[in-house]
Amino acid sequence: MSSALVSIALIVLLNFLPGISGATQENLFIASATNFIRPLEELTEYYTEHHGTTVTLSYGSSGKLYAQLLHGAPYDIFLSADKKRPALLYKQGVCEAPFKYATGRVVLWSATYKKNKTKNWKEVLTQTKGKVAISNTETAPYGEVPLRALQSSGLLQALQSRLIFGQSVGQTFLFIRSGAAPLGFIALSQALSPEGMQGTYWPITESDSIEQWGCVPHSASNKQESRNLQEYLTGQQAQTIIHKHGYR
Amino acid sequence: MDYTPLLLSLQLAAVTTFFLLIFAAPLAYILVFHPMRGVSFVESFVGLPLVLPPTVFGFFLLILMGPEGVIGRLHQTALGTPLIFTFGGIVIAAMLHGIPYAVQPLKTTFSKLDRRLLESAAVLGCSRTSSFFRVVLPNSLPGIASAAILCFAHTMGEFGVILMIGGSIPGETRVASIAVYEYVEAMRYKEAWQLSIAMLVVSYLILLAVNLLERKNHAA
Repeated sequence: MSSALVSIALIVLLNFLPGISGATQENLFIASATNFIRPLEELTEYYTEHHGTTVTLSYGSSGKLYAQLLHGAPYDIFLSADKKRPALLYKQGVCEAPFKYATGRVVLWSATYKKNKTKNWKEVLTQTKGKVAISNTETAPYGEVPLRALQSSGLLQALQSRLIFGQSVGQTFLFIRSGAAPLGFIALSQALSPEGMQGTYWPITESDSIEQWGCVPHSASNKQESRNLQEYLTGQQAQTIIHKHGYR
Repeated sequence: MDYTPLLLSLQLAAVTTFFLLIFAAPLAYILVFHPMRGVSFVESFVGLPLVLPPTVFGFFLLILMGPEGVIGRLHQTALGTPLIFTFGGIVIAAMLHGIPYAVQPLKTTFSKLDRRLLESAAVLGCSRTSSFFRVVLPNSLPGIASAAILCFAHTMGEFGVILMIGGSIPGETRVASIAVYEYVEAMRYKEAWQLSIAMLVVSYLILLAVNLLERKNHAA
């Protein structure tokens, strides 16, 4: 009796667990840098509708996802926020040749200081008080680039004690959005999202743009499907959607 | 090798344990000996940190301790400085998260006390407050010690909540657990190893000292 119950429970459970049930539909596991959430959700929705391939999304800082891939994470495609990490994975024989899918920009953003709109980002930083949120400058390209901008503009010294660090640009956004840090550096795509539109952003004209590259790991469960998605991401139609979200 | 994160963890654990016990002991005393109406509501609240995931707890704290939050504003008014992303901030977070680890062992110890002691104290004219200090506390030292150890150990291992509200400031909120996490992410495995081993050794030594002390107490 009880063993019958257990097996029924198991069957029910297995059918609810994604990936374990014997679904015939293709599923792609995408690991993406956090800044690309908005466009990726729109892109994958369209892709699933037209190609019948479902996708599972996993987000994190590029550094974290890179380390996970090196240790055999089962991702079918990796969308990094930089050029360096996919190139490294390629060199190490973990990934196929990388491809560029977007070029992003860093902005200074605030939900608190809305009336300083006419000033430039340096004036905003020097004329305000409170913490300044920035993403982990080692693992998140959206933290590395503003750090370099702060260094080259000579502001770093004065700001050092005000900096607080988010693990990814997603956490950095939360720190600023919640008002815990009144200012911070995020991706332009985040500033243009519905949540981001509730604040104000200042472009950082001196900063480098961020080339975002991706790659298909050799361990991908269905490489052809991964390559199809790669082709779609770099194609005209997907690029139009990507540009709409603040990338070039 | 930079051992600041490890020292910071030890410092956080010590400060948190100290202040937490000051708050938890009277609370446990009231819960055990003078429960008011609706005590179940209070006790369930005390147990919340055991059930809530650190991310949920941390998310609430981020809002509450921010400049717009109740705790953040109180701190700003009282001391004139913001609370979030400071050492004081993670102490308060660790205290709130550690409440059950202090209150539960204290409650267990207090409820094992011989009630006649308290009754005699009352007959001899001791107020509730003075019997707390003169009867309950001196007779519960081993229980207080184990509560302190639990708090200390729990705070040393604190990760999720601090990840949510700390902001990883070196020397201020970047404790050992966070530093190891970041070293691993940045693939600085050498530093990750060194700090992890140091953490292991320190934790083991603390537990060893506690066990030796306990054995000595039993023998005495």
